[in-house]
Amino acid sequence: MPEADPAASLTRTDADTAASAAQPPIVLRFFAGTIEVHGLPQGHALVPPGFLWDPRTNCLRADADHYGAVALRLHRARVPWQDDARRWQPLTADVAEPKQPRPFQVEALDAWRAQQSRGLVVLPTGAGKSWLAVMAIADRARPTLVVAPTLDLVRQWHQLLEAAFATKVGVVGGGEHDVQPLTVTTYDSAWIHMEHFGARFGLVVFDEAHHLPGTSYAQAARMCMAPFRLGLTATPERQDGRHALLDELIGPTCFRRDIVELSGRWLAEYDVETRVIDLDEAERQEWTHEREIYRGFLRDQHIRISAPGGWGRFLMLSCRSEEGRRALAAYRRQRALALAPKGKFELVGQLLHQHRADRTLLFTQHNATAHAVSRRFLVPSITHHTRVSERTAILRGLREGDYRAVVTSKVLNEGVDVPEANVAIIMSGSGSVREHVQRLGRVLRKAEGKRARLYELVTGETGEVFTSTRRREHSAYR
Amino acid sequence: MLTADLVRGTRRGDKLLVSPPTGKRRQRALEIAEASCALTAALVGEPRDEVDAALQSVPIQAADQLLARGLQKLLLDTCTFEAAEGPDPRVLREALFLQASAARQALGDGEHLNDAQLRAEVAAAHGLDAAQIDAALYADLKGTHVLTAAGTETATDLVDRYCLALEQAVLLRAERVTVHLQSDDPESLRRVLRACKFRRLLWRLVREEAGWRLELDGPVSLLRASTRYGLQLALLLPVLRDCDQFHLRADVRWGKARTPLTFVVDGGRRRGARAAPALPPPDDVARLLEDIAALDTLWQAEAAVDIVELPGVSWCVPDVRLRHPEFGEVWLEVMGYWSRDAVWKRVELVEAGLDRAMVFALSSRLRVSEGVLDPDLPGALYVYKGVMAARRVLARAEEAATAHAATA
Repeated sequence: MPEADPAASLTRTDADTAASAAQPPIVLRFFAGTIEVHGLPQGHALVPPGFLWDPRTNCLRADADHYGAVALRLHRARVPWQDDARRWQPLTADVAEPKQPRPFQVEALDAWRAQQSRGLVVLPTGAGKSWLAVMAIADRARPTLVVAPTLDLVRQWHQLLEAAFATKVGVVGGGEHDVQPLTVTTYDSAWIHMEHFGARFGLVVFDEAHHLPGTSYAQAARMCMAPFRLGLTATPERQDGRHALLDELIGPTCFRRDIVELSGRWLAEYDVETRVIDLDEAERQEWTHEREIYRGFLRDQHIRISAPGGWGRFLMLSCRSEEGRRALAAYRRQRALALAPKGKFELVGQLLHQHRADRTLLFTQHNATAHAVSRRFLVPSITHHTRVSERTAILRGLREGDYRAVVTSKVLNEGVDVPEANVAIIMSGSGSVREHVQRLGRVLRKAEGKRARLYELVTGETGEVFTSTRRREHSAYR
Repeated sequence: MLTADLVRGTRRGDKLLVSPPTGKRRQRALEIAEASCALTAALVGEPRDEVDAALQSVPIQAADQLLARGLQKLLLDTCTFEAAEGPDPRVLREALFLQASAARQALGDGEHLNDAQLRAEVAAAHGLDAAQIDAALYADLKGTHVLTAAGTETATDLVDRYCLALEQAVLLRAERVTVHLQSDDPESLRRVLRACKFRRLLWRLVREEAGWRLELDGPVSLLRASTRYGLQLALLLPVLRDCDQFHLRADVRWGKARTPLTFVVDGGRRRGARAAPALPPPDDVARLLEDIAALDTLWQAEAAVDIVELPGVSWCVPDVRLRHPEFGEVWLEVMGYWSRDAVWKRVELVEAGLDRAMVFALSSRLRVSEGVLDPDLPGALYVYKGVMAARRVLARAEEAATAHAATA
């Protein structure tokens, strides 16, 4: 592969003037998230699958992630070609203060390199995925884009990379737009801006990579030219089955370790305790009444909610009549009663008192419950409404011990690093295994003498019992 | 703008239809709009949660739920909500929660947190009654924001806007759009093309027997279905509405299954309606015009109103017309940084022989050198970093005009 000559791309290339030349050279260009091949006809043996003839520009075109494949073919065929696409040079920064990697980090890096530096590494929270990425960046020595799902994580990555490489690290997102050889961005910003900077990185790291297969985010991965790709996650599986796309967007899973494999030596030991709470008499009566309205509507309309499309049919029919609207309201009310009965609040009060010297994270399903807990027990809350500066201050307070508990709905489910946290209380949640594992992961980061505890509060004899059973279908809870 | 979930589309074959309210349904829409407008006007000073609850109480038929939600969404978009006056909730929270945390840690077994006392102390320190602190604690949440100004639209205007918003919501899911414009008014066409340019859409304009055909898409559309440009396409619709007559055909992906369907909009300016006033030039062009006017020069600059055919390429919408008693007329097209490919096309055109003097201004971010065009050619590139410099533009114009005069 020819080294990119910056001067060549500042002036008009031969390909642009060579209309009269007998054999125009092959030129690769990056345009708006696609890779263009000029100078090769459609169906030529050197053209890898995925390229289509674009009559609008008289060239072959494919998603930018085909760059590596076509460049490799041209290089191996030893034909003259010009690379106007690649806009990166080797990364000069090196790790400022190397630290001894854990044995499984070395294994993971080797496995990733063995797959042409493309693939997914599955490790539990707290196992050191971020440092593995630092090792990969240093190993490949390519300008790197790190993509993370939230601004909190972007900030954490920014701090980590600046400290690790002792160099300026760019940020795109949250009002900032500074592209550097090492840059951190959010999935949303990557989707918006990849068509502009997708040619500037040789390595892309997707943190919490299970987000990537979403329709829009997947497009960001395709619009990026980086031949080297590293995906990091603790929970790759998605309920919609789209995790199969990760093979194409990043590469196959090259290394995997589970919580139970690392617990003890590399992760904190932990206990899980499920507490069953009963509805009080008034709540039980109301729950039964509302549930009967909801179920009666399902019966009358012959809806089986567990059947494929059952829920969608319920929503559709609930909009068409007064009875339907009442049934939808009844469904919501009985669910709200099950998720946040008085008994749960009382138990939360007891647990906060019991663990007043610990660092506790409380998780709820809805923001309203998080705010209710915050008001009642006077603990700070973090929801998606919380501004970044306040969120930072709260997490700093928790780390430093000024706060001993924080309540959150979903925004702390993944990634955010509070090593000191050792108690998690799941007040309510969805049936998602991933969410439940991620919440446990928040308190598993290893610390001297630390033993983590997770409480799961479940309202007995309601649908929450089934939800709880579903979300515990993971080795971490067996 | 409406989101796609607020629009019920009907499928007929491979066509997607949305039905703006007409007849009795329009009458019901007007009633809902009137009641909703009246409610918001009456609820100025109330928190958003109250306004939402009140709007939900507007009596509607079960079949009109989506209609009502759409109308009320558009209405709320025009209302102003602001946080209530009082102590900064964040400061209040920090004070209360830090004190509570310290107090809880100091508790012994069997002791209980005296939260009422804590609330009273912090409230007093911030000039509040103890009863007020709970409401003030999260007064920055959206639901607690107070309605300070209701929209001033009439019910009829709101329903009309709803009809346009229905079509725009479908265009959010568009992959590619073709518009046939039947307009003899150059200003209308120019307005559309300028809007395309402003929205960074890739477009091609073809002269047809009766008007123009405008094709809009992006590079990725060749490879797969992409609704990436949907928002830009949707925002174009109000501009099209101001043309005499248009026929829009969009390839859309609709519903959860993203089914490929065709969506058609026919429309145009209502008979007797006045044409919208001419658009002001974009900011960078306006600034350039001011800068040239401030120079001591014989060059005169004005916003261009013509559409210029670039044979073999398409039609272009120059931004500025420059005139000089000696050098004559020179057109300036500001290409900014939207398409490197478009620059190369213009370079090829200049080399093939341009019948007028033109300057193409482009950002240095496109990484194209001014030197790619021979100075003897009637077209010139002007590469700028950040802001266009008036003197440099005029220098390039002189070169292009001189070359044009020599080749004419």
